[in-house]
Amino acid sequence: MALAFLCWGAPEVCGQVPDQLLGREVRETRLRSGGQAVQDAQLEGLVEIRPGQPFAMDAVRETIVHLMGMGRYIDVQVSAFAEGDRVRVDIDLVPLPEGRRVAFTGDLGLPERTLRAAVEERFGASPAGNRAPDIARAVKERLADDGYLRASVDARPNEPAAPGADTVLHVTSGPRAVVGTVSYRADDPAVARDIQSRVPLRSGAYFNRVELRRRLDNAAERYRSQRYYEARADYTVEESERGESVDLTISFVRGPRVTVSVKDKALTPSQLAEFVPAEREGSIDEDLLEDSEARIEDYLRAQGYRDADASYERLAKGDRLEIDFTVKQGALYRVADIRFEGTGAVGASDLAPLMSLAKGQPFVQSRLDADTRAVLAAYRQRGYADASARPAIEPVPGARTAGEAPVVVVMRIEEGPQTIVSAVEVTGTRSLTEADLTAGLATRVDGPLYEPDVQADRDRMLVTYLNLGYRAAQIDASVTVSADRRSARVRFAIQEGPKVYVDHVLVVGNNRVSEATIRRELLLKPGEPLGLQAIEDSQRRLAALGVFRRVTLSELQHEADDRRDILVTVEEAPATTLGWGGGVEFQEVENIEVAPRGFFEIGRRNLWGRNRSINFFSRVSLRRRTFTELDQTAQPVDVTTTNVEYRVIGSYREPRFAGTAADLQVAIGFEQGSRTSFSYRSESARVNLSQRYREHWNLQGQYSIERNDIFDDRINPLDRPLIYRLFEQVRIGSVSLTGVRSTRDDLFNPKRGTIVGLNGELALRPIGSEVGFAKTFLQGFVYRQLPSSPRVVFAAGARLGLGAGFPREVPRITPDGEPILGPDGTQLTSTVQDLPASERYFAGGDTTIRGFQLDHVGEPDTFDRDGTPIGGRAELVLNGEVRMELWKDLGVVGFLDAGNVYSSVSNLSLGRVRAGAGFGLRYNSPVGPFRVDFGFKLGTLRTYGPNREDRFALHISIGQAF
Amino acid sequence: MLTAWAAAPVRGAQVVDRVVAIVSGTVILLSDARAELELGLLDPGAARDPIEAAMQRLIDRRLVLDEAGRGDRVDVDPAALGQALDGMRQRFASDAEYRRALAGLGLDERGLQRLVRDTLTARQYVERRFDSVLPPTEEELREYYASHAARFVRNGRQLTFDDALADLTAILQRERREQAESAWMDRLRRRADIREVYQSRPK
Repeated sequence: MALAFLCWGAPEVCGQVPDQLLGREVRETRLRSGGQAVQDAQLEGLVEIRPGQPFAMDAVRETIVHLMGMGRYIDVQVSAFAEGDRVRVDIDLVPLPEGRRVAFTGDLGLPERTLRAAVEERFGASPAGNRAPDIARAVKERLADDGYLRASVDARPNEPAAPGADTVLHVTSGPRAVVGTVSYRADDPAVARDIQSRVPLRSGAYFNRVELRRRLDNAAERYRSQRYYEARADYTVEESERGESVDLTISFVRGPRVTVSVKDKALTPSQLAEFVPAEREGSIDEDLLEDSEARIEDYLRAQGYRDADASYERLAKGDRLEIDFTVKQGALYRVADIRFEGTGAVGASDLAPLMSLAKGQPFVQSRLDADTRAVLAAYRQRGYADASARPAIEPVPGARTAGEAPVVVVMRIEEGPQTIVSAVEVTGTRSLTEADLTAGLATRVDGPLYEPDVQADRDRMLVTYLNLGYRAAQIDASVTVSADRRSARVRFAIQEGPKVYVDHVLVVGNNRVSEATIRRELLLKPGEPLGLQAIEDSQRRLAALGVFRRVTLSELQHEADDRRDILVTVEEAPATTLGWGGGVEFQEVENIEVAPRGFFEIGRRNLWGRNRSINFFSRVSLRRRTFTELDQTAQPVDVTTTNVEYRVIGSYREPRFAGTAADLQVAIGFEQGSRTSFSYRSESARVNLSQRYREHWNLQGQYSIERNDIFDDRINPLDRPLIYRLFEQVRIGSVSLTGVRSTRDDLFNPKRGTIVGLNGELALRPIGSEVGFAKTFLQGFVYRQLPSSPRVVFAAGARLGLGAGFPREVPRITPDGEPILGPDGTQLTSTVQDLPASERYFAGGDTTIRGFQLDHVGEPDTFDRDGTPIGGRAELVLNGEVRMELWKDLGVVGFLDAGNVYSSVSNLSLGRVRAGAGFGLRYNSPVGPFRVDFGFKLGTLRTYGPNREDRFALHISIGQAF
Repeated sequence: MLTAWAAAPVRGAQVVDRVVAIVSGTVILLSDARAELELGLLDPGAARDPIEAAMQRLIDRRLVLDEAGRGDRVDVDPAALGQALDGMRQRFASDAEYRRALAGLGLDERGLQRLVRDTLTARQYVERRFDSVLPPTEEELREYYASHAARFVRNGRQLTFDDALADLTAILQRERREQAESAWMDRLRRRADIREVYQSRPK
């Protein structure tokens, strides 16, 4: 009746749907907000009330739930009215207010911003209205901190003085208390005077309890730092009748000055400070001292002193207190032998490697406890669920001395029966076959029964169901063991529950990134099952775009159990990044050179609503250099030049280029720099398309063009080949194709897996190259951990490079660089068919053949007459290495390398290789393996030009050799 | 909250449904509140605004269900569920009227089952949680008896403490349980994020 009366009085409130509307055809549905029509494709897609369909309340409810799921609205009101024999529907969207307001009214006492800051610190900027009582209490406490001891704070809803606020706090601050009389009490008059000077309180000043507490704590801390560890400060307050003033009594107890010591120097000063942290804790209470006793005993017992005992004594001497520790080590217990008794199916040779205790080592009870657990775990994993292991310590007769007590560790084992799984049963599955579910299970028929495996298998099957969309799936795993405990039946009872599908996918929070870009990364599509893995992968893919600060995927429950909306909420990262800076470089060459430099970079992402990015980097420096050269009269003169060095790089990146799965990168660079004997200018451009296939494959195609020029040439002729190799003075334009398959488990320090790569490069004049050539490079590496010893890794690799230059005409010049002219005055040319120096193959050094220094492996015709390597057109490198972890991050390696560089492909021969062997040290630093390799050459040493090879080579670098 | 009234419907139009409250992200609709009243899940009694009363009830139920979801699963006895659904059907004169009522609320059979199951789940969870409220001590019983002696009169005769003990214990246990429940609900409400969008009509 009450509802009917309410509906008669205000139908817009009660929402009762007149019967004449239900079932009628919907003529039109309009979205509105603030009286204005809303046209938004995503919102319209969420409306279930569709023109042409019968008007139904379930569609109304679904529509409201969908729209509210956007998180933008506080209310969605659906109104309907008859238009002839049809129904028009209006959907009014009421936006969320901007944050929830807390309003203050009344006599605040303190500035409003102070009270608001106190509220925000505890409850956030938009606290929920139902926290009003807690908020009021917090404000009251804040007022009391500043002396408003009689303040009252009421939380009032719907306050006319503060429309639109969720929480209205009416404050009556009352009087602000001032300090009346102050008295100081301490266990020493001098201390009382000291406290009075450190914590001065002026009568008539406002009382602030927070400030008072802080000063008292500082004063006590100061005394504690002087070893008065029991120093304490406190105060009591007596308020006047109306709270207008307070009389304070400051109490300070200094306590005695404490000295902590240990008899007979049984501990070093740093050990004493660590085990008895009286100074650090500022306390010498009984709990701390008893804990210190235990810490000392634990430390000594961990060293093998099983009978270690620590005790302390308090000695009060006037105003001093001495805490004296007495430590008795006792004999050092050492493991003389380890025996296993009662083993049967599992032998001592299987159990011994599990023991951390070893012969000759100190005996530590905690390690024996851990070893016992390891032995039991080994039995349980083999199906011996009832196995027991009882360790015993037996002294070696007649071997004990005052300082040492050898013991024998005896592990007494009762194996019990081994339980074998006789059957694995799966019931209740409808959507998956039993074979699908049981494939890959650790629990198998005729295998040992191990309860953790059964639970892990249960979890694995449950994840399978969750990934298929069965979000309410439940699996009960039960084990029935036979009476003789030798066999067991394992049963997995499955309740699949409903399969949940994605209904709508809603995207909110994006401003610059287009919705299409976001939806492309989502693996959740309307109508498809809502799998757990799909949610995680979708979140990961969105985060990998690199354009969002935060990505959240949440599920919105529907009326129906089997459908959910997915709400994707993103927070975009700033689209534009700016960086700039400057510095000064100091370098000593012939003199001290000072080079000021500055850099600027700007980047922009989310270009045109998609995940495209563009970056620009520039750096400029001025280098003033003075060098000596000979003038026309062959006299040395100092010449000073000022060189401008710059580097400018522009790059563009577009993932999923042209709708494909490939990533496009374009980079252009200009650089000018100076070295001690020359200056150079370099220009380059590169276009790269790369794509991942499945999990392990990566394909990449690239076009690049590059040109270098050298000027201000003062190069030593001996250095010329190396410099021309680094700064090739021809324009090279080439296309290349690379395919790599990698299953390595780690990029920098792999222990498992393989990597195989093939690269082909072609440089031709029509694509901008001044020289033509073709190159190919094939490499493969394999990494395997030894099954019996996971700390040992075997690594092997092979590399093969082949190249050929296309014929070209090269001007003939004299050694002085002058052109050679023919009888007709034209410049003579020679036909050259060689790879440019920068494209030739080199071997030798820390990443190829380590018995040799950098680039110094090759047939004799790959060296010039001065013994400088000039490279070849073919190379072969073979590597084998054994890597062993020694202790924590330290390791050692032993290696054998072989290979050669050949002047032509036809010269390549396995019969003509150079070899080197050696060993090295490894340290796994946070930035990668740091290594030192010492190699030596196998076979006969050679002489190149004036240089005879050294037998040995030392290499220091970061990263593995291969 | 006054903005909820800002979107005035077109003349002649009826607001057929809207949001009345949001509890930790879950939306409670006006049709949910009507369902409570029309299906007999809540007797508004002398409540000035039955919709407000139903909304508060739904808020509490949502909080309880969220709390129940954090712990062990609460299974509703299928027989109890069937009995509750039958009782609901019997409120209507005919099957046609019953179906019309469901359609007016936007419910189908599955939706109704879900609604009833949630109601029973919440009730069961609360009962289980406060099943083992500490029994009152003898001192507490005697004190209650002394201050409420008039309640323990049968057929004009004042019952002795021992005669009234069973009733006393039941009364105190119930009151204690209600107090514990009420305090617990207060804590749930304080902890949760609740927005009451529906504004009760002014007095």
